[in-house]
Amino acid sequence: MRSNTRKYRLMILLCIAVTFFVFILSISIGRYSIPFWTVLQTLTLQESVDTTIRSVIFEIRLPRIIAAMLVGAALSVSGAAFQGLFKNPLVSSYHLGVSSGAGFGAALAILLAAGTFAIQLYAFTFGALAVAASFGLSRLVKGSSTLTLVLAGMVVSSFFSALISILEYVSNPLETLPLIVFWLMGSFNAIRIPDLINITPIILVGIAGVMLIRWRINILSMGEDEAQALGIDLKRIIGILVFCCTLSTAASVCIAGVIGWVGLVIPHIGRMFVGPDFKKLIPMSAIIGANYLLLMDDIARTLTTGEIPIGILTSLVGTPFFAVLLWRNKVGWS
Amino acid sequence: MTFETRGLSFGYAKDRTIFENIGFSVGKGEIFCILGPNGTGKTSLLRCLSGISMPLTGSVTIDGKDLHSLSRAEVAKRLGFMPQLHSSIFPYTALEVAVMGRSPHLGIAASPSERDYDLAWKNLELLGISSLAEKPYTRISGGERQMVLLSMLLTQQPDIMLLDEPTSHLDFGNQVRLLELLRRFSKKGFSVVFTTHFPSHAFQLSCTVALMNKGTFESVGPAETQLTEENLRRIYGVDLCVEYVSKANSRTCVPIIKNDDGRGVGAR
Repeated sequence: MRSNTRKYRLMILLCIAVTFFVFILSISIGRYSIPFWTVLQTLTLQESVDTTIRSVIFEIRLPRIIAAMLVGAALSVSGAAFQGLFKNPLVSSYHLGVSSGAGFGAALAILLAAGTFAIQLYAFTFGALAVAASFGLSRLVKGSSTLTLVLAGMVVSSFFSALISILEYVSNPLETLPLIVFWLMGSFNAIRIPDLINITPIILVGIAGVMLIRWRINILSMGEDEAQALGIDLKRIIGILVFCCTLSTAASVCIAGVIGWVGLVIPHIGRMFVGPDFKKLIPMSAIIGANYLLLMDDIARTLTTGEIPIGILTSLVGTPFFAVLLWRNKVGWS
Repeated sequence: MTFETRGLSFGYAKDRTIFENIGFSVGKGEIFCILGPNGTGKTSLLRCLSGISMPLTGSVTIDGKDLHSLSRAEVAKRLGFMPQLHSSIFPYTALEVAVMGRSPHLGIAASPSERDYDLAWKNLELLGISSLAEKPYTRISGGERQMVLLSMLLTQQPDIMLLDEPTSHLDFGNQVRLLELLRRFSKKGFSVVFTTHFPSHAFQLSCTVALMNKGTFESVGPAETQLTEENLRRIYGVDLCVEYVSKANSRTCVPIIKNDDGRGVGAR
């Protein structure tokens, strides 16, 4: 086995086992704590379980937990894919403007006093539009490369950030402004089964698309000339990657708000486990990302009596962690 | 198999061309060497020949089929390109880099199988660098990286190999090993086009040579008729001599560094 596949498979199995444990643990903890054994009984649909417990688990905790895992996986996978695509380990899933676009969409919907679903729809649409704008802008440049795409992403992100500021400025400081600010900080608090039904297929399709072509990201990351010499159709593969990543990140942001430092940090942690090969890194990032965001959300809802916005937590944990990685020279560009 | 180019010109603007009107053809199992001073357009030429850069005019064909009428993967199955300088951001192992050569042979959703890894490993062994297999590509020397790139090219298994100064970072021994390897591959039926700064390399391979100067081929022909003292002096603008060395059964080119009194100053 020259490709170290056995070690990798073992590691994935181990991580899946850990995920299962974290999953059950997350259902069990909360303001209304449920014993481990009861959680298992409820999940296996045994009749003897109390109906209150059943409704707490199935209607409140489970949707939230599944959403956190999906979003964690989506942000980490697209972050890893973008780092390879842009040949830049400092890039995250939001690099093409999906978060600022979605933030603008959500803020607009909140100003228009729209309902939850409309806010999600606006956020998703404007998130996707922002990426499309970055993409289109980069295509205007002759001989467009991933470098122009990075620059276009920065331009579009800043533009939508400015638009968000305008909306915040004109909004009512007592009613709509707090809503916008809280939305931007991110939360899984309001997620129920219908939200989950809307976003799950979109996120899964996005992740699956990246999964399918993940080995090609290695070749993309070697440089555009090398990738072409190795038979890669650059436009097509970049198009597929950006499309899939946008689907899953836009769907993530539209239900959970802007959760930073996941798509940047998790791929680096993945590399510490399985190395830089995207064939192994993408699945590993998905699993680690799912666990990480789930644990962060557990903390967000249990640490205080209130709810801590999860975007604040991930930044608080992510930044020092990344600083340590930098300091230990583990970021993986040398 | 014939690899051919006709009337090839390239430049970043129509009135500022890098090279103009280049034409030659390479048959199965032939070695074609391009020699010329710095900045004359050798790398740009190889990039056009490999289909990475789009020429202003002219065509590049494999068996009469234009490169740009084929898909990227179809081209890459037949034509391999090894760049002069390359580094990676991510610390892939040498084996992971070598196996990337399988890319044109695998479907878009496929990743390399054990057999692909075996092939990549065999090529690392062939080049005597299997000890690098687990080492990060970013932490090995330039010469080692060049050898890893070569193993990637071999793993790609193209009919035609385009190599841009393949010996530029190699130590003396590896230069010779690379030349031997090119010879062996040409005997197996692979065609090789490479650029070099060492006239002696063309002598040693006894191959066809194109003298490239000021963005065009001045002349094309066998090494012994092309690489005369006169031609080399004119192109490189330095004094040198070409001698036959009977022990090596090859000609070689030696530069002459002169004293003020006009005599060579080398060690005796």
